[in-house]
Amino acid sequence: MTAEEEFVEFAGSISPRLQGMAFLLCGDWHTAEDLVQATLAKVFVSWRRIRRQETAHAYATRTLVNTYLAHKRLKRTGEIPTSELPERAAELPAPETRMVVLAALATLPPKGRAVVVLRYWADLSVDQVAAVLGCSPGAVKSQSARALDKLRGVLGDATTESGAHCRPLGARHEARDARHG
Amino acid sequence: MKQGMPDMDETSLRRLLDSALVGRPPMGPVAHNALRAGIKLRRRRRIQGAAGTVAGVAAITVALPLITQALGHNTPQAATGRAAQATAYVANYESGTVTPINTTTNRPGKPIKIALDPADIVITPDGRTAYVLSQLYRHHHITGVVTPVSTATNEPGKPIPVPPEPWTMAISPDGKTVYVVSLYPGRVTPISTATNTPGKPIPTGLGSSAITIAPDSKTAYVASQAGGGGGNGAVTPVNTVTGKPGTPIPVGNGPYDIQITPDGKTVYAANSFSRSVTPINTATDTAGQPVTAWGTPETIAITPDGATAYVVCQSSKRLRLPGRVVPISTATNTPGKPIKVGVTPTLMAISPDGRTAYVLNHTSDTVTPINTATNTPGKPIKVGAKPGAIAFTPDGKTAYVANYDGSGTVIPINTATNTAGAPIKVGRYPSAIAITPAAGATAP
Repeated sequence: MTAEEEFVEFAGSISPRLQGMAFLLCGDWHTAEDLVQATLAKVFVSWRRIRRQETAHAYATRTLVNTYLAHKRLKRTGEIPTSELPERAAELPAPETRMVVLAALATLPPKGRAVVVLRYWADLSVDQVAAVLGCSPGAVKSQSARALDKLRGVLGDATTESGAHCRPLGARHEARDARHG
Repeated sequence: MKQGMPDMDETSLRRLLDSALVGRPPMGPVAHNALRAGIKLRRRRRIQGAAGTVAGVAAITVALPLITQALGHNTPQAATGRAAQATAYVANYESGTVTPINTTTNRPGKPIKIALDPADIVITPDGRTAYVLSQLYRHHHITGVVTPVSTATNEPGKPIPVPPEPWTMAISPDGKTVYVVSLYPGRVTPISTATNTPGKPIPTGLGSSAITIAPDSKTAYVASQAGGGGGNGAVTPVNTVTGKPGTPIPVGNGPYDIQITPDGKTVYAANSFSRSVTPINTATDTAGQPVTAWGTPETIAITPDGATAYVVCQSSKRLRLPGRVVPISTATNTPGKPIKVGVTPTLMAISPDGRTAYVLNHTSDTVTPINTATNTPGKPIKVGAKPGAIAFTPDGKTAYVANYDGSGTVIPINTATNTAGAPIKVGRYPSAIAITPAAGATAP
């Protein structure tokens, strides 16, 4: 098996996970695919070294998050889901929870969002998140506390709510408040 | 954490996050696209030496030996003893060394220790200094340094720190500045060759991966994968005098390579994921109508006379299929008939006399010579494994091809007969080659 074949196999196995992570980070499937592709290209560039160190997953995760953070730094625009929320939620009654969650995530600062996605979706430990973001475990803890606080404010009890139909509006207002505050 | 909020435990948060993924669309062929992009990033090294695809640079590097020769008596520093013969410098990615090769005897000299991992190398037009770019891996991310090496003593100087994620570099035709391109978040950092100090990084767009410099050294064009906003490719012109980036010029998707014509009038960008090449008028900095290429365009080489831009294209269907080279007339911007080459061609270099183009076929482990007068491919030359970099001696008689694999070899190709010579032992994974201009060289 050549290094290329090995990489393609690795990329194929990790890309769904990266895609999910990227989507939760950026809130848009197209950008998510771009982020995954850019990430994997960079992983390939260093493939031999990474493979040797058996750190491919960690490196890919770290690269994805860094690519996302760089992307956010460069482009302050991008995703503003709250402005489209009411119409979309009315059109699509089924996935409204999805919209609420995305709206809530969008209120977080990029790093806080990365902490939430890495800790609570990708199931990384505090230490692993710290390694990925290049900060201290303490910073990860305080970041996630702040992020969770904010999410609670925005999401309220949508976790148990089945009829989350009225939540988008609430989420929208609170998201706006959160931004202004 | 706030107390009394039991509604958001980790499990429910995880479930909420999962619910946001409803409607996940099927992904495109990201693994293969990433592989292509990665191969490009890794292998697309500047073709340096006395000639190459960067015709603007080539014109200068070919011309300079003559100037050096003419001024030889008055400039003893420039006309040292070693300047009489050309030396090939090979950056060895995994060994952390640069191997000098005497191009007369094809003997490797003592490896020069450089910070891990040397990824690219350029030589000043006066041949006195080689600049080596190293990518340093620290805690799963990449930083970089550039090490100047004196070609008179083969001693490395003090490493110059550059911004994270450096990928490629180029030297201005006037030899005054080395530009280091950082991929993310996309910057170019000028290094003064007079003082070996880095200047302020200039933002050039997310995913900056290729650079070409105008023959007058006043403008550098940097291609970025997402500099056009919304994930679209762009080319950013940088005023090298003021260090200010201009307005990004939108091109196609995935512009992984750009080249400027020898007259400096047109920049060509290869749009890997749009199957096209965008010509940019440098007088107005506007993009022209894209020219249709083939498969996934990878790299571009322009003949020394500027008449033809060759686009190296890989198969977009499967990586195991042969690629093509599409000649584009620069006068009319019309594509010619695609020329069939080997599997996974990555880059090509044109001999200093402009008669032959050499295409490196990464998977076929061959080099295909193309007659530029007839655009017909010759018999592929076996070079070992994974050819990844090429450079010509100033007289154009020899092309050195680096095998980017564990064998750690460089193959000299006799350009008169297109036959491969005995492998020259260098370090592991030679990633880039640059050759000094020689004072005694005969111009093509």
